[in-house]
Amino acid sequence: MPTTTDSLAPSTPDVVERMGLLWELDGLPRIAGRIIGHLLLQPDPQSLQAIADALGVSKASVSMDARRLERLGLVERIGRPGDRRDYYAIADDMLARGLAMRLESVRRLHEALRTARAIPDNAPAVRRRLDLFERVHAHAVRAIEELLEQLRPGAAADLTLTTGRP
Amino acid sequence: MDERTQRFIEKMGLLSEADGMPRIAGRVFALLFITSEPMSLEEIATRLEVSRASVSTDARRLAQMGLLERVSRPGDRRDFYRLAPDGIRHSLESRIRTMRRFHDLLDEARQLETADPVVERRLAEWDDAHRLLVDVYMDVVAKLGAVGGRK
Repeated sequence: MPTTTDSLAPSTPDVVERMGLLWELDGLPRIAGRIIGHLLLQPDPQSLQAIADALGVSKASVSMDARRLERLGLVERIGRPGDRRDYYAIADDMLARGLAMRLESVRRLHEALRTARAIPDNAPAVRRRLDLFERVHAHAVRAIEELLEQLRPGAAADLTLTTGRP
Repeated sequence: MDERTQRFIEKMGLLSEADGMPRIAGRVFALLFITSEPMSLEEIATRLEVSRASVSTDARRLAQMGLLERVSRPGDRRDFYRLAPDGIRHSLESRIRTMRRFHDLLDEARQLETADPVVERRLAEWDDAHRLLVDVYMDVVAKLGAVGGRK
């Protein structure tokens, strides 16, 4: 019986599957991560049915997660003249979007730490801890902002991009 | 519980959820973050108004991630938890490991027989960007070392 260990060469389904697992760590549903993995490897926009067939899941669940990814700005929905179906492709600025999502989550953590500073009677050990975490996160925010600017000038200040809301 | 304390704990719970972790995990971490003494599972559960069982699962998970540390007290059979001394470094390093896995995956994707130039260019771009992001995190970890060494 053939198994995946027959060959050391990576296979497309395997790469797509592991991509799903990694995006899950970022809080996305696994199917959403697999959709990203699949579209990443396709040069052309894919219909929902084609994605569902490739991933071996129902069209309904692909449809739900594809819309979620569209809202996050990670994929793009594309219409074709004379064709009523929806097609999806990786968004042109997906990289900037992904990085902006990461930036947003570090910024929110930074903000939460500032809330902790307002708590009365923090022990000295807790205050030192807060100082350290805040410094590290402030540095991370600046560094990711710089990277984002490098990738797409003006992006770090673009709130539409970093919050995913229009 | 003080209102500001509560706000911080709930915020961290929501952030934990956004990172794909249970909300209680974020709340447990937050509570111990603002507590300097080790706390028993019972006390954590009481403060957060949740069951001891759910706190126990998430505290163990956080300890596995290197964010919390389990400690015991002589003559006391209960488990106590506190923030791990190197928790922030562990969390950054675990982020870096995930990014490296992503990076390896992109490398594998580039070896697939999809010789399409559009896909090839996209993968190369992602690869570059992730390399830079890993550098950013490595730099943050290095800064952390410098901060720790200064005390």
